[in-house]
Amino acid sequence: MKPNESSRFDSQLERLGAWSGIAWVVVCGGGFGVTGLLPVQAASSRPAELAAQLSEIKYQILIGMMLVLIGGLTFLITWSITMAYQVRKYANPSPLAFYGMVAVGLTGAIIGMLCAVIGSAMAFRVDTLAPDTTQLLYDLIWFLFLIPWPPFMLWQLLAGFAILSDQNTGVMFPRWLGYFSLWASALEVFSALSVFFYDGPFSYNGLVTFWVPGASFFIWVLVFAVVQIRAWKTVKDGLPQVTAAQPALEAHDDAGLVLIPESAGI
Amino acid sequence: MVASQGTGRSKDVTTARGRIPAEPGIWVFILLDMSIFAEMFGIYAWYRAVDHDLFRSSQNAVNPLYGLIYTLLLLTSSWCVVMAVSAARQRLIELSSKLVLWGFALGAAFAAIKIVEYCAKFSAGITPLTNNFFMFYFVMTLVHLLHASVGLGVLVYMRRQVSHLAQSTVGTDGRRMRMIEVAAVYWHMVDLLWIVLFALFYLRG
Repeated sequence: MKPNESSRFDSQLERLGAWSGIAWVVVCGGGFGVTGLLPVQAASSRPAELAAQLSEIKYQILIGMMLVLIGGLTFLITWSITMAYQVRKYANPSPLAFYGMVAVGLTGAIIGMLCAVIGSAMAFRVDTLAPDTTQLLYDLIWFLFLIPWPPFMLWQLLAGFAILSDQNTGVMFPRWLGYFSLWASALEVFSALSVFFYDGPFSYNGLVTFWVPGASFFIWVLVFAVVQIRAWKTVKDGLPQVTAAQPALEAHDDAGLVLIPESAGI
Repeated sequence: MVASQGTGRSKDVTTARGRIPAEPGIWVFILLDMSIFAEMFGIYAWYRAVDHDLFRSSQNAVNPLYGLIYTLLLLTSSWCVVMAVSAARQRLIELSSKLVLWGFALGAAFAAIKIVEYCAKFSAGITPLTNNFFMFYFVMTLVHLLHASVGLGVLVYMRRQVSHLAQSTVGTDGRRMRMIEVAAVYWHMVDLLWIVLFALFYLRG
């Protein structure tokens, strides 16, 4: 393959990868909607009542979880690799930040897969399982969704600090997206509360613990993907073949200056 | 009028009405973060309205003196940071650096006394699981304490930027001042959120 053909193929993949972020939000979010599991039942629900409710929506759960599997696994992998690649290409060339974001993206995809597999197994056996076992599987779905928050926080911090770094030329990622990523990362912490409360705003079906970090993560992916897609024309017309960080570094007389805390590791 | 300062893309946004402090992006963070706190304040108000007697009696176990001390510490700290920004603008580097250090010290005192207060509550057998009032009390003040802890890191970063102002070139000077203002804006948000928490948990009405 000639170099320009390779570059063209890469550009097409970048574009598709950015769109897969939107696809993830629609298919994975829609999948959870289809399951009929939203709004989530309280952790203090009686096992028999919960099992009876889940039995009624058994096939909804199975179809919805299939969508979560497609969205949560496939599209999160393609989007996370694309966003990490583009952050490296257009914002900050740090290889550590790149590999960190790819690793967390893959972790997120595995978590999405586990949610869907456990949800499917729960629905598959809901008519014969003991209700408290069904409830345990139900707990597992939401604990998987909520409590592995630290790597996701790392993901958003890496993206945020990379975008805010002085090497970002702003050709694809505006600085406000960096601050937006830092805000989304801060909200991940709320998920940690879900293991302590059985009802109320801080339990796993609570407004603060479930909806704030859950919705903010979906919104973060959506906003990020929209920025990637909208900036595509500028990037394509501007500097498609060049690593943006290099000219930016040369332009400054103090190229070593990075206006972010060095503890960020970028 | 649109004026620019600094290099290339790093423009200060100014309009006929005046300049946006720091940079527009930090305000995205500030407004979104405060909206989450506003959501929690709303939920707290709802729960309090439903179980007013419990919340009122539980509040008697909270010492308002702590709240007063925290408020004085954070307000004074914020004042130091404001004065530090002002000094940095006038290139009074040493004074600005000292003021940020004072801001940091007062913020650290806030965090240390908060931990002492938590320990006193735990030793009295009061935990977040005691009742709904203490659930909100611990969670909301802890989330604020996490913000304050991040803010202390931000003040350390601010002091470094102030100290580097002396060696700044024309190209980097504007960017350093912008990041100094970003740090100050974040610290003021911590202060502002505290004022609401003080009223919710420490003032008895």
